[in-house]
Amino acid sequence: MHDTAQVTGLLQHGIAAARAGRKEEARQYLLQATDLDERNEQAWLWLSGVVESFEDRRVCLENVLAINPANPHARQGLRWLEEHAPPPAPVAEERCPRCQSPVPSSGAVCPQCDQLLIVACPGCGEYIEVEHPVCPECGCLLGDFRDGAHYHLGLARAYLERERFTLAQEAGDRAEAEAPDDPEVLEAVAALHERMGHTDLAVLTYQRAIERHPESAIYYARLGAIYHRRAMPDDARAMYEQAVRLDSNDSAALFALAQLYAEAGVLSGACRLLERAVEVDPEHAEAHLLLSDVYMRLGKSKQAVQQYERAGALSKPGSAVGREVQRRLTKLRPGISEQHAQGWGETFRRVTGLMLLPVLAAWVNAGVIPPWEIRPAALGALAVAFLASYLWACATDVPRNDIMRAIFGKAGLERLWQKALVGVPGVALWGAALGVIMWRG
Amino acid sequence: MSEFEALMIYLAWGVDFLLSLVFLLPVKDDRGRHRSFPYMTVGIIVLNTLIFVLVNIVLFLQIDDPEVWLEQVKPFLLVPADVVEGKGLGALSVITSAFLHADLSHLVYNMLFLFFFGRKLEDVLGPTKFGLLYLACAFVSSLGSIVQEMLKLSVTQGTVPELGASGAIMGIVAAYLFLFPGQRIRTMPVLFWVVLLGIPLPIPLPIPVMIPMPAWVFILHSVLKDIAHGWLQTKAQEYGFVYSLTGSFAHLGGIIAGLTCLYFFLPAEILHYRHRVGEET
Repeated sequence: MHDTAQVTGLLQHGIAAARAGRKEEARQYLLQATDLDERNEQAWLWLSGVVESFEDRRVCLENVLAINPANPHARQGLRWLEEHAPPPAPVAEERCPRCQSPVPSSGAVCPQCDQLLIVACPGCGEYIEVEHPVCPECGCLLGDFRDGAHYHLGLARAYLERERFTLAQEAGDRAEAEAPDDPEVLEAVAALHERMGHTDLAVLTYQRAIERHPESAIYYARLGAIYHRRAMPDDARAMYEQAVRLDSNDSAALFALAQLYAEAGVLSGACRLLERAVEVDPEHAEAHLLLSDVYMRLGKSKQAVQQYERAGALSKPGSAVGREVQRRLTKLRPGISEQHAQGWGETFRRVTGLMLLPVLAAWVNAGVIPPWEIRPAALGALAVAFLASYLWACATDVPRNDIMRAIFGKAGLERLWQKALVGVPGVALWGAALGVIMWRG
Repeated sequence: MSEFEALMIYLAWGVDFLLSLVFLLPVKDDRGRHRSFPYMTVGIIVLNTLIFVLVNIVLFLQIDDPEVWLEQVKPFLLVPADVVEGKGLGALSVITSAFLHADLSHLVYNMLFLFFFGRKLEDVLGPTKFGLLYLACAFVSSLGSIVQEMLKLSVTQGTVPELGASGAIMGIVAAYLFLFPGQRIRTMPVLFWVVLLGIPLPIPLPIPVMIPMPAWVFILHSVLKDIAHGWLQTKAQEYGFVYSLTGSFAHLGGIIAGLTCLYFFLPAEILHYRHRVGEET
């Protein structure tokens, strides 16, 4: 139900605006009025006077006649429109978007150049004309038909992403047919075959590519990878060797060939290739990891550790390479013996580190060489600093040294409260002693 | 002056001039991961910056008289003669002077180096030991001039005040080199002198290229510059004038401090495995 008073108000405002020449304002009021009361004869009639196009005007007048077939103004207006309407635009002749030859309106293939004119949209599967850059059904981007082979490649990839394998295969074939000598297209088509699991077709495509471009290393490397996956190491090695011969800066091929050499036990060859691979690509974490394995097998443990550390630094924390590096380093570096880690030597080293500042400060304040003139207070503070440094070192670095084990039991300073009990007085005394040494009163 | 001595002075001046033309700004190395936030490094940088703002800006503006301001600040600078004679803050001035800087460029370049090398070292040592190493390096780097004064060898009678964190930071750089000698550092060269309309002007001009540079090049660059600069300073003092106020020997002292003091702060595993791996090969 509409509000009559509101419609009347809108109509009055609309008519007033139309009479004053404010067409846009009038159109807004009258459209609102027709929205609220679509059988309002006056609203449609006045609206016909303020809309812009012939077509809109005709619709408004037809609506008036639908409400009141005897309305003379509407009849007169329609007659005028018929007399003054512009002639209809000529229907464009359909032409092939590539060779511009005329094509039948329902044709799927250009009769002149055999170009496919209709394809299935990868998004919704609707058949659409190829000159559409965007599918009118679902809005899926199709690219530019005029790109030829690249258009079909893009289409093939889109089909593949949506698991429309047959269409992807057909589009790939069309791409190769369009540009049989384009190395980029050949590589992409072969890669498409690989992604679809058609390795036989991929091998054939790479072989065709090698026939046409025997100087291109990438095809050999890709073929090598396929042979490697198919457990054909000799064929794979031959392919990778050719790839490396043609491009000695291809770190992926160098790494893959080194893997084969390492698997076959040709360690010196693998080592040489991997050293080259990490020289070409210093951030190749897997190459560093394999190189460290090879070094280990060659007995070069120092270089191996360096490479493990490098691989660890390059890999993301928690990644497969990172975990592998950690595992191997742990194996290579078993824990330090308790005697070494908690013995008197280590304790002395730690205490000396903490005593550096107090000793140097006392010497500087003595002001002579040799430092015989250290004040008695500073000497006392040095003794306190020594004890404090020992306590501090026990709490942080050597919690299981002999004295701590004698006092706190076999585990030494194991619990936090035990460490705090020893460490807090240690740090406090150390600070106080340093203060006394520094302060010359 | 003998001909040989004159030749050496020209040579040292040439080396010093050429190396001073280019400042090597470390931007990135391959050690991307940190165990935790570098609290101590950032803390030292913040402290240095705060002290600079308070002393060089706020206090300077309040006093508004450079001479009075210098008198106020002087007790906190390291004056070797005062330290040896027992005047002023003594050993404490070694620490206080390490947190004072002459001007903004002095502070900025020191803090850039500290930020780059300090956090990597703190990653290995932990914040407390890193802080202690920093202070130890600051102390040892100042020892050169103090010992010189103790032995009464100083031409200037140890009256020239010293300040800045450069010695401590050179120690941190040297410790980094000791731990990661094979590390390659991506470096941005910064030219110090720009010739505009035929006039050489001391404007820092970063060259927007990243040069991967071995870590030792940094040390070599600094060591060569400091040796040449320090020797020229000594020669100039002999002839009764001041070549520059840069503490070149303090830088060298810092390098020695970093290499020696690091031993006492390193985790046992690092010392142990360096030794063990070396034994195996």
